[in-house]
Amino acid sequence: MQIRELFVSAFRSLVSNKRRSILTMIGIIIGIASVITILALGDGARVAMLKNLQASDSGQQSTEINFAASGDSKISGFSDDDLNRIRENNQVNKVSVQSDDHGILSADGSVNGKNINPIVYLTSRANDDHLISGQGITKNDSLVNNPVALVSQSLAKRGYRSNRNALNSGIEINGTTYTIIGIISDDATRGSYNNYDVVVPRQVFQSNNADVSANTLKLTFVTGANVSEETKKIAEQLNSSGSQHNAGSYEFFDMAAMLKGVSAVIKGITYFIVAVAGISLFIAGIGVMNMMYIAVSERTQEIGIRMAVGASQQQILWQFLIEAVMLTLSGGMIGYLSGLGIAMGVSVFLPFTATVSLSTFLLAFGTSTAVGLVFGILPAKTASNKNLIDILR
Amino acid sequence: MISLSAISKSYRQGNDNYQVLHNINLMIKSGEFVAIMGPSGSGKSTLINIIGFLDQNFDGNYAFNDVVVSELNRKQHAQLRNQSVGFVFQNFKLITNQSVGENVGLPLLYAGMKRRDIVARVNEVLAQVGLPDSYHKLPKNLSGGQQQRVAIARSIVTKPNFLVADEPTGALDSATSAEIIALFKDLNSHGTTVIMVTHDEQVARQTNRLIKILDGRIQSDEEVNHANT
Ligand SMILES: Nc1ncnc2c1ncn2[C@@H]1O[C@H](COP(=O)(O)OP(=O)(O)OP(=O)(O)O)[C@@H](O)[C@H]1O
Ligand SMILES: [Mg+2]
Repeated sequence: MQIRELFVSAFRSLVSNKRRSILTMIGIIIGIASVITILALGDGARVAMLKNLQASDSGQQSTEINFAASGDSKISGFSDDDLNRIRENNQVNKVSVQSDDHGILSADGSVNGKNINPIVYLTSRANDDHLISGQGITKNDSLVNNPVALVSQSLAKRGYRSNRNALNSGIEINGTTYTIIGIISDDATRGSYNNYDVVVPRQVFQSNNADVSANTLKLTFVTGANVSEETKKIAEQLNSSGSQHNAGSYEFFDMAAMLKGVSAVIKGITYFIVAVAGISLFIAGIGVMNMMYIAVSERTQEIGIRMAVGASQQQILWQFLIEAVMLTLSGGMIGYLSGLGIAMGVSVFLPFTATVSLSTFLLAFGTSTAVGLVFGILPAKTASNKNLIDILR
Repeated sequence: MISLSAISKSYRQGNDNYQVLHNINLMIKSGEFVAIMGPSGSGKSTLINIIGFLDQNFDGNYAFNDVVVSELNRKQHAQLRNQSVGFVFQNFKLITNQSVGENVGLPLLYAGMKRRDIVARVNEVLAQVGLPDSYHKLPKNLSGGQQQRVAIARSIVTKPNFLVADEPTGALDSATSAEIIALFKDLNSHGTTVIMVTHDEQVARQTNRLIKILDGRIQSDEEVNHANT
């Protein structure tokens, strides 16, 4: 018998018992779907984490040290001496102060009622860099303290769905409302890596914000450096001998450690779900076995007829085994797709997107095939070992 | 073609061995039309199952065209069943949820033929047994006589060396029986060997050789005299 025929006949007997086949598949579907959901989310979280940790495409990681002045004073926490000393550390690739000195800082705000934390670029001159639509900030805007802003496309979308709606609408930054006059591209940068989302005239921003000396030191490390360790050392050193260690404190928010914690939690959840799914798959497997035993005993006559016209034991065995595998495999594939669907749906509410990977597909494929083989083999053996004479009597 | 010597067969019933066949010696040549008769329980079906390669568990020697049947492994035995014999049962033994054509084509599927070639051959034999254009019908929508024709079509579809029929007319009325026997006769006249178990004297008289069995032994084995009928 041709192998194709085995598949055709297995498929047809499953279809002829649609309801029973579907009920039997449900366990497999649930098991596979839950594993795929958690793996897709876990993968997505991991990818998002790596992205967060990495400043550049070449895999170098960066961290930030903030200087918080104790008073309301507008002092810069990092002097050239500080920078030079840090540059001597050979793990550090690049050191730069991100503050209003460079015209870039991060701010709080809202757009159409939604809270945002944009990186703001303060321009003292006319600016229309990376402009996509609308118009740029003119020199005149700066001179007459015109509260106008250029915002990135994604912020525009976030607040007003489309670029067109966003134009001439408002955006609130640090308590001041600006009119959006232009849309800039999402990858707008100053210098080599200073991304920004919003451009506003410096004059307008400064007259509304007393303390713009948000002092941030951005450190970029060479590949392979122990980022948190090194940053912690640098922060400690700054706190003991930095130029402003008496006027405030240097703080390092250890992103890497936090992300490590998050990833440990995700790992724990993954193991838990995998264990639950394992039990679900086991029970589903027993269901498959049960159904196959029923099918074998219901179709005893058919088995006898097939044997009488020349089917060998192997061919009968394969017929039922393929039927079992086809059942679990279709369950597995449905489970895979629903798992992805659930993960995608859930990740809408999460700060990262679920990822689709070949390995999770292979996992779903392999697991469901294995369940079919393991739980299908005994019923198939029973079918193929039936005594022809007894059946035909 | 078929040569049985000293064939014995016993079934285990509980702790005892119940011997059904005792030292059967039998030769059947190609082209013969043989009827086997005997009271119920005399071992006719048991014998015919051995001859038709359905049963491999027996003592004695069975040679089929130089092949020693008892020495074959199960796979070769199944292959012999597929290629060399066609079996017709009293209760038709059709797969009820498959079409007539699929039932008839089943032996060819196991012979490894391609689906396309199978359809052509199936339609050919269906026409031969008087059921043209019934490929897509379901067995349950056919009469008993028609179902038995389907079973006969299935038995001859691989062009086997011989046909074995265990009471092929047992479930049919006399008119339908006559049609089925005529079909066997026709097949035999075209060279197919037919071995048939029957309870019906009328049916047995249509054959060329009558073997009577009693308590697992051959009681008589003689040519049928057609002059009386
Ligand atoms: N699988 C089996 N296990 C045990 N005993 C069996 C088995 N098959 C047949 N027998 C016994 O062997 C004897 C012969 O059975 P067989 O079916 O060959 O008779 P038969 O001549 O075909 O009878 P009938 O005309 O009723 O079909 C019977 O007594 C039966 O009980
Ligand atoms: Mg019988």
